[in-house]
Amino acid sequence: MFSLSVYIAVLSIIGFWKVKVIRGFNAYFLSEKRLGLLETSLTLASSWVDSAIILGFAGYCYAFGYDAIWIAIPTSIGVYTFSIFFAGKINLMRNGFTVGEVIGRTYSRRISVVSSIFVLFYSVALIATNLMASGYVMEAIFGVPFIYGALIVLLLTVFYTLLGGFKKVVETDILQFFLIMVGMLLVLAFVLRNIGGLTRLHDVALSYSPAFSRLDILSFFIVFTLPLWANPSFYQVCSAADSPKTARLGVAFVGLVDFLLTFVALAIGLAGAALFGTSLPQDMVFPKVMDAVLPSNLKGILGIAIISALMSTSDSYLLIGGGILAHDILYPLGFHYFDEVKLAKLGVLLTAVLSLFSMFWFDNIIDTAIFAFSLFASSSLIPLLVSLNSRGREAKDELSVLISMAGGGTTVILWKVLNLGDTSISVLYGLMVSGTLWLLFSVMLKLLLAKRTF
Amino acid sequence: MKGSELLIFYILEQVMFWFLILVFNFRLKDKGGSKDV
Repeated sequence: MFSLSVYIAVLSIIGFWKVKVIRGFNAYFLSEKRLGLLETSLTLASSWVDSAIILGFAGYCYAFGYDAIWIAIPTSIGVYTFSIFFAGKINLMRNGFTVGEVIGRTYSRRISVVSSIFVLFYSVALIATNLMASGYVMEAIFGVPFIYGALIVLLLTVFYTLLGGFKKVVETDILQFFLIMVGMLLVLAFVLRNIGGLTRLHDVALSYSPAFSRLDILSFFIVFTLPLWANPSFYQVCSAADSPKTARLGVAFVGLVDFLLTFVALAIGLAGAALFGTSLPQDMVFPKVMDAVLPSNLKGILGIAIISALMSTSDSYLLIGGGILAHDILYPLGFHYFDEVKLAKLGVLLTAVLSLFSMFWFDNIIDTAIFAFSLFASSSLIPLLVSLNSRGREAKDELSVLISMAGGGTTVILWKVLNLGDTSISVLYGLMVSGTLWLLFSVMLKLLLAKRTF
Repeated sequence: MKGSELLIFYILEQVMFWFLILVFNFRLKDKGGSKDV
């Protein structure tokens, strides 16, 4: 009980450190100051380092050995192609700071509202993964039961997200990034020392047999590449960067960080296999390995560093979720009873409640992330790509886009609700449905319009 | 693809993308330089 209260106190201090009074919606959602290369890179990287990278991927490496790289390759392709093709464009757009805004440049409000609802689900699922991870770390390192650990972290994060704003998030992100990188490298060093070096880990890796079919690998290339083109934190930070080049290099830096952390996760996952055999649940691998290899005085400090990194991702997505709910969904729909900042705060609360509930619905962190990515890719990718490549002119095939978004999104949700198979391949069917509907209805509408003209 | 081949492929892919990104982000300067000559 004593150690628990000490940790709550430390977490509260981390939280209060972020407090800032909010003055207006734009100040809440975007920093007024433009970000330089260092701030842009580190903020992006800090939001990037989350539960999926720390716990989820280590668990995946534990389960599948080197084959887990089948996820790392498409992820890096997604990040680098975003840097090359989109980061600069988004920086040059005025008000391109959410996916809904970008889509709203080409399409009507209705379509941007529908896509924003899907981005909201995406944010909720990502917060849920961070809550799960916090719960696991709290349990393994501090002995707090999973659900209490997750609840404590959620309450603290909601509390300071309601009070804080984007600018403060940027300032603390930089410090948190260094904390987590030093922490991960320390864990790596202790893993290598305790397990017996790289050759031992390589031997463990060679004992795995191939895990994925061609269909699995194909869907990895869709699930982990395309949704990154809609990563809400990329949009927010790229539009706050001081030049297109800063935005491009900042996103490329994320690719580099991800590359380094892939190797750390691989080492931890393989060490898990060497230490515990194959009986652990995936998401427990990282906390268990940490618990086994670190000296006890470092454990607490690193546990706090990791939880603060998880909180830093949750707060970004709570802010994004609340902002989207207020700015892109409720306000455009005519919900004007409160001002936008109050509405955004209400949105933060609602996002938090949704995340808490969705946490119990998924099996593990990577599964949840795959669901979030699939849902987004299947619903919003077509209008987003059209908008990013158009020069702001009105598109005419509104109805077909709306139907294709609803069709693709519903396919992925039904796939999960009805438990039709692996979550990882649902995106193939979702994209097929949304693409087919889009083509079918665009052709039909064109034919109808042509008939009317002649 | 075998596990260790996959690892090498991943590293090569990173090197290729960084090459592209550096060329893409710093080529404008080079163009300006060559004009003077």
